[in-house]
Order: sequence, then C-alpha cells, then structure tokens
Amino acid sequence: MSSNAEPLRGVDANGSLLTAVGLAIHSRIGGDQRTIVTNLDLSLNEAETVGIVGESGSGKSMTARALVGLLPTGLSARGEVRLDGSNLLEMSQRALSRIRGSEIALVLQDPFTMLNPVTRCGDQVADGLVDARGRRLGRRTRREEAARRLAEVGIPETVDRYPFELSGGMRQRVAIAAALAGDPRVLIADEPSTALDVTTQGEILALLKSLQTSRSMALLLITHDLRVAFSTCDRIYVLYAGSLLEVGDASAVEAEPLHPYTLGLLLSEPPADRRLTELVAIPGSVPAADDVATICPLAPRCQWAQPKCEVTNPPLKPVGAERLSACLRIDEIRAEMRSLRHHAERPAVVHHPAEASVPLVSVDNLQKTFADASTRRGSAPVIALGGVSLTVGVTESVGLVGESGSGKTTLARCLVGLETPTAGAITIDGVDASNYGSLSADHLRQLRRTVQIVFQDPYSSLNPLRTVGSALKEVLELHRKRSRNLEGGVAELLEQVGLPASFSRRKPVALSGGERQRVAIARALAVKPRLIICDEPVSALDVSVQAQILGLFRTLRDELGVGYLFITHDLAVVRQVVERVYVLYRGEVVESGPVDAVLDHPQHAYTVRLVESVPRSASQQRPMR
Amino acid sequence: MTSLVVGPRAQVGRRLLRSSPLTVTVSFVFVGLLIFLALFGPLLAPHGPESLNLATGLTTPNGEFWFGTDDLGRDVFSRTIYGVRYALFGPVLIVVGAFVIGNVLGLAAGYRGGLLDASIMRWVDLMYAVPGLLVTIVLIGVLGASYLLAVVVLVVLTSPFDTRIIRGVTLEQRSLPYVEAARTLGLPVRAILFRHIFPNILPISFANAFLNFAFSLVALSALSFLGLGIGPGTADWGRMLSESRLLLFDNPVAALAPGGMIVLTATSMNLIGDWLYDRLADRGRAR
Ligand SMILES: Nc1ncnc2c1ncn2[C@@H]1O[C@H](COP(=O)(O)OP(=O)(O)O)[C@@H](O)[C@H]1O
Ligand code: SF4
Ligand SMILES: [Mg+2]
Repeated sequence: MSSNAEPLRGVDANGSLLTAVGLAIHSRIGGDQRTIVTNLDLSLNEAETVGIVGESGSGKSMTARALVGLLPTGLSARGEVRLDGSNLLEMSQRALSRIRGSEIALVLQDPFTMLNPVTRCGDQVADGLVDARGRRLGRRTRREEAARRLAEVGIPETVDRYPFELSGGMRQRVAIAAALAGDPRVLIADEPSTALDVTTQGEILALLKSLQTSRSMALLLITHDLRVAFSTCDRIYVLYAGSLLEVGDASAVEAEPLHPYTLGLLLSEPPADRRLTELVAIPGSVPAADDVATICPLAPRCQWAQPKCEVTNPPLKPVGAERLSACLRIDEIRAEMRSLRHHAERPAVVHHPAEASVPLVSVDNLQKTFADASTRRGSAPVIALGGVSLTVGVTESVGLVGESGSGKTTLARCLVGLETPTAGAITIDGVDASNYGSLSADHLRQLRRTVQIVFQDPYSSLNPLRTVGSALKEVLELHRKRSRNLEGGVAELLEQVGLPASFSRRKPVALSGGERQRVAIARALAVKPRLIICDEPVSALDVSVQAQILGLFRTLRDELGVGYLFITHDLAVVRQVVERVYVLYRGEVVESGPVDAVLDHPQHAYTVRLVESVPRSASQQRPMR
Repeated sequence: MTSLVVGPRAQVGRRLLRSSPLTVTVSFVFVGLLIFLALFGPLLAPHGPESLNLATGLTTPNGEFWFGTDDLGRDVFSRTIYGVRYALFGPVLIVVGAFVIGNVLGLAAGYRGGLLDASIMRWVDLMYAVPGLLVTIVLIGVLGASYLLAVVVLVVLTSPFDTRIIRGVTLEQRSLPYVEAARTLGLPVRAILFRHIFPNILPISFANAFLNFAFSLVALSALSFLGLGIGPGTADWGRMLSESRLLLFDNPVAALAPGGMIVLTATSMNLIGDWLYDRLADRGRAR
C-alpha cells in the first residue's frame, strides 16, 4: 500500500500528507442550496496513489477542486482540508495560490483549458521556474530546463511549439509537465485520460504512474472507470451521489467489493478479455445527493435494500482490517454478493450464426474523401476511408473498432446515405446503395427498412419539442400503414426497450441519457430493421447505464433476431456484443476476424497496441506497460 | 441552438441584467398598450382624426386638446391615437411577409444545399450589397408614391436578413442527430422541415421579427416623412411629423408626439427582440 519512505516534511502522525475531514460541498444558485458532497473523509499519504471513483455527477471533480481551493463561483466547501497542519479551506486566496503549484497541482480532463494557446509549450512549463535563490531563470537555462521537463513527460521536441499544433495526448503531457513545474508533493488528476483516444489513455495513465514513482509524489486520480483505478491506484474511494460508499486497498476491493454499488459498478464494466454470460446492471440512474440525504444513497437501486436501509445515510464502518463500507447489511449479504459475481463472470461461448451465402451488407473498397473545409482551397483533402471492404451477414453482429478519426462514423454514415462515398460499392440486401440520391422510391424504402442507425449522443438525437409517443408514431405511420393501432404499436416498442408505456407522453427533457438512448433504439426498431448500426451508442452514458443498454442490445438480438454493426472504441464492449470484428486504422481495415481470435491474438501492430491499452490491474496476467 | 437544452437557472440573472428586466417589462407593457389602442383607440379618441376645427385654429395643449392642435385645427392627441393603427399595420405586413419568405427560402437553402442554396445566397448577398432605402426612394419616385408599394419594397429588402439567419440555424439543425435520424427513417422532406426543424428554429424567427418590426416602422415613417409613403393628411406618425415640423415653435407637441411614439415603439420592439435573442443565445451556450 503506502510507501515505506521516512516521514517527510508535513506528514502528520498517521503518515498522511493531505487529509480531508468532514468535507461538505454545497452549491447555491438563486435561493436554493444543493448538496454536492457530504461528510467526506479522505487521506493521501506520501508517495501514494489514491483513486476517487464515481459516475458523473457523483461529486468527484468538485471534491478535487475543493482540495485545492478552486471551486467555481456559487460553490462553497465546509470542513477541513489539512496540508502541513493548516486548513486550506480557511486560507486566503493569496496563501492558497502559493500552495497551488508548489505543494499541490491539478491536471484536468481537457488539457486545452489549462494551457495558454498563445504561449509556446516550453514557456508554459518553465515560466514560473526560479533558481535556488528565488530568482527567475535566465533565458538559456529556462529553455534547457523546459526541454528537460518536457523530456520527463516524453515529448522533448515540443519546446518551441504551440499547444494547438499538438495532439490531445501530447497536450495532456504538456499540461502535466506544467503542473509539475513547481515540483508539487501532491498531484491531483481529474479524469486526465477520459478525453483521449484509448491507446493514448493508457499511455497517459502509465506516464502519471511513473512520474508518481520517480518523484515519490502523492497522486490523487479521479476517474469514472473502476478498472482504471484498479490498474493505477494503491487505494480507492468509491463516491456515489456525494457520499463515500467504500474505501479500501485497490487489490482488495477488486478481489472482493464490500458494497453493492462497487460490485454493481464492477459488473457494469465488462472485462475485455472474455464474454460474460450475463451483463448485470444496476437498475435506474444516479440520484441527486439531496434526494438520498437521509437514506442509504443506493437504496432505491439496491437489490438487497430493506426498510432499515432507509432510516439514515449509513456512515462508513470498518469491515475487517483496513476496509471501510457504508453498507449496513454487508455482513449478511457478503456471501450472496460473492456468488452473484461468480455467476455473472462465467465466460460465455460466442455463437456464430450459420454463414449465409449472401451477406446482408457488403462493402467493397469504399473510399470517402472530404475536401478540407477548415483550410479552404489548395490544401490536401482528408481521406476518411481509404478503401474499406467488409461484410455483415444476416442476423450477424459485427464490431468496428478504432480510435477517433479512423473513419468509423464516416463508414456508418455512408451505409445509411447520410454521406455519399467517393468511390467503391455498398450493397445492402441486394440493392446497390452506393448512391442514395439515385435510388428509386421503392429501393429507398427497402433500404430504410433494412438498415437503421442509433447515434452516440442521446441528448441531441431526439427532437426536443416532440413527445416520445409522437416521435414513434410518426415512424409507425410511415412504415406500417396497414396497422390501425398506433397507440398499441408505441406501447409495444417502448416495452421492447424496457420503458413503461406512460413514457409516450414525455418530452426528451424529462428523460435521462439512458432513457433517451432507449427511445432512440425504439425509434430505430419501429421500422423492423434487420440491421442496426450503433455508433458508439453507450459511450456518452454513465457506466451503470451503459451496462443496461448493452444488456438491452443483447436481449433485442435474442428476441427479434436483429443484427448489429457495432461501432466503438471500447474493446470490452465489443467483446460482449459481437461475433466478428474489424479493426479500422486511419481509414483502412488492418485486421478482422472472430472477436475472440482478434482480441486474444492480435496480429497487426495497431491492434496489439489497442489490446494492450486496456487497463489491467496487477492481479491480472499481463503487466501494465 | 434553440430549444435543445433549457439553460440552467444561474444564467438567467446575468442575462436579464444585460437587458434589464425593467426596460423589457416596460417595453412589453408599452407594446400591449399600442395593441389596445389599435383595437379600441377610435372609441377613446376625443375627436376624429380628420375633423377640422378651423375656428380653433392652431393651439398649444389645453384642457380640450391635450396635445394641442395643428395648423388645420386637428386634435394632435386623437391623431396620435389613430396613428397607432398605421404604425402597427404596415410593419406587421412587412414582418409577416419577410417571415414567410425568409423561412421558406432559409429552410430550403439550409436543408437542400447545393445549387438552390448557392442561388438563394447569391440573391441575399446582392440584396445586402444594395443601399436599401436609397433604392426604395428611387423606385417609389419613379413609380409614384404608394403605401402598398412601400410595404412590398420593404418586404423584399427585409427578407434577405431573415433568409440568412434562418439558413444558418437550419444548417445547424440539419447536422443534429435528430434530423439525421429522421432522414434515415425515411420521413418525407416536408415532414422533416416543417414538423422537426421549423418548430426548433421558430424562436429565432420570432426574435428576429421584433427587430424587423422596429426597422420597418422607422423605414415606413421615413418614407411617409419624405412624402413617399402614405397619402397627405393621413394620421400616420411619419406624415404627422413632416406636416408639423414647421409648427415647432407654435405647438411643439404636434411634432414631438408622433416623433416620440416612433422612437418609443421602435425602441420597445428592439429591446424585446434583443432580449429574446439573448435568451436563445444563452440557451445555446448551456449545451
Ligand atoms: N459550476 C457549478 N455550479 C453548480 N453546480 C455544479 C457546478 N459544477 C458542477 N456542479 C454540480 O456538482 C455535481 C457534481 O459535479 P462533478 O463534481 O463535476 O461530478 P463528477 O466529476 O463526478 O462528474 C453535479 O450535480 C453538478 O451538477
Ligand atoms: S445499506 Fe441497504 S440499500 Fe444500502 S447498499 Fe447496503 S443493503 Fe443496499
Ligand atoms: Mg467530472
């Protein structure tokens, strides 16, 4: 767990460098006060990596900001945050800003917000540096120092470049180097890799971990991804609706979660190394802290909830040595939780549907070039697809993986006619679909009934002004002219996606992200398609909701026999829902085959990188790179 | 853009400060009063708009003639009230005309793109380039003064502004997944345009209509003032202003009343339009 280093300056009797006691964060907007975090105790030891894990809205980011006195206006923190024996919450802004950078530094999700766009990377890093006597460094030494520090984060060549010239991953490295400029003892990183590509994500986490070790600094990593926390952290804190639910050693929590929420989160994040028989999801969605202030915050979603769980908000209690859990019933249900996990994690066998002689969709040497709109005439066009061939069989579920910009979405849009390919052929159900504009009305209708699409962003994929019912009815009217009973049709569609019929009267504002995505799926199902193209359908959703939607995709497949072209950057997701997979890299298919074969024995260098970027904890076979 | 997300409460405060709630409220009240006067003004006006009181002649404000009379002895107060109808009628025609043309062309250009878009936008660019009011004056000078002609010319001059704005927001909506989903589902273009996109851009057109109103009122009044709009003797504010401008020393109210009404009406409409725009812009930012 923590290091064996001698206690250093500012370490209290328990060896903690930074501690929070009874931290509470409230927001006040207009007249009403909202709770964001309640009664949070946290300690961070010298040279330790601690993770705060929670879904969006749980209060992770605001906790991180409260620790460095950077809460946005309207938010205030109470309690204690101790560093070197003084309470940061009572310090003046002046004193705080001295501590920020030299003692505690913060790295945020979006590196752009932390970097000055008009300052060269070298200056971003070295500007504040002073020599031993507190004088600003000379130009020459400053540049050398900047180069040295950028080399520390692996990008010495960027000294003279501007942030906008760099990729997201490189920018994040510059931001990290800048945060480390004052040699802080504590680095707080809020979702530092979430905005990045999968392969880059792994690299940034590895970089943070190695910096933490080489500088013996304490690292507080904020993440929504339990597996990232397991792979990087020594200890983790599980935060939910503003309350801590579980605290413990990462390896111990991974071996056996001691709170139903942690278990649910763990099961909601399917592993990338095997297909699970059953995708267990926590029902419902994350509540607001104030709505669960006087009960166990998980009670409305917990399968083990009893009346006694709704009496108070249970505090963290020790369970065995060095573990804390806020579940009142943990001793009674521990065995049940263990067997649930055991049951859910049985690997499933992938069934490949019998190969049909003619595939439903076949794409042959498809090319799509975009004239670069941002830079006017004369510049090189962007090649989004450079000759892609693939097939999707009848009732087959096929995955398409690759990093952002690899052409996945362009391919999907070409398939449904939202984009016209530059060259190559698309055949869908025997119809030449290379150019939707030239199709006859009959053929167009046939294609619309064969292939549908579900988009990534559930918030903009529904018309905000129309009710769920009218959105579905409109499609039913168009495609099932003969059916009289439209209301019944709407209810049936909603039921298929696991929503009550009463939702038909709601407008999108009244729906959560997961519910909207269900409606979008129902809308696609309304035409009874044979294939649904899913473009990152769960990546905008909370982890626990992701699992629900993935489960829905599986169920629909079993019940309706619909096939999928499943586009994702997430290998774990792809492993759970498809039989075959194509790996797309810079507009070309670099590898394809049965999902097990490709993920277990990747051949192409890019696939190898992709597979290796999946976070793995020490207890899993392959070591972190 | 538009109504996809309702902005958080926090921003309401800042937004109202910028275009302070009091001025906007006053503007709304004032516009309400105008509508009331347009409907019931003739019942309230103490005198007819054309009734001459040659015996009285020109007087300053007094108990009987609150705003005094003009050189023909007509009651300025009554004429100002009657003028509300002209002040609303012409601009409303222009606003409605520009609204219809702007929305149809803007939706078509934004949604269809290609050659149609290019041609419509060339027309818009051209209309932006010509000095509008000058062209109007020349045109009316050649064709003869006529209120209807003034209205038609102003519709033609205003609609390019609407077209450009509507095209912009249509383009934005068109690339949103909900519109793309509608296309993929095979909904007819008509349904996509009028059932899906149009209601979402309506608030923008609406805000714009207020700004257009202010512009049209000022333009129409200016034409009347120049004698190129409504016929002589009519109780139209622009006309009254021009006919009373020589009376400034004998009865200043005869010129100040219609002039003030033009300024107040146009300002109110502008304030309301700006306020609506700000609200919409903030909504956009909340996304
Ligand atoms: N500037 C702000 N003003 C008011 N409330 C905010 C602000 N920023 C975040 N919140 C609220 O704080 C809560 C926790 O947010 P956050 O810490 O960002 O969650 P997480 O990082 O776990 O996704 C949410 O309910 C969010 O709406
Ligand atoms: S306290 Fe009750 S409701 Fe809360 S997690 Fe434990 S069993 Fe579930
Ligand atoms: Mg966050």
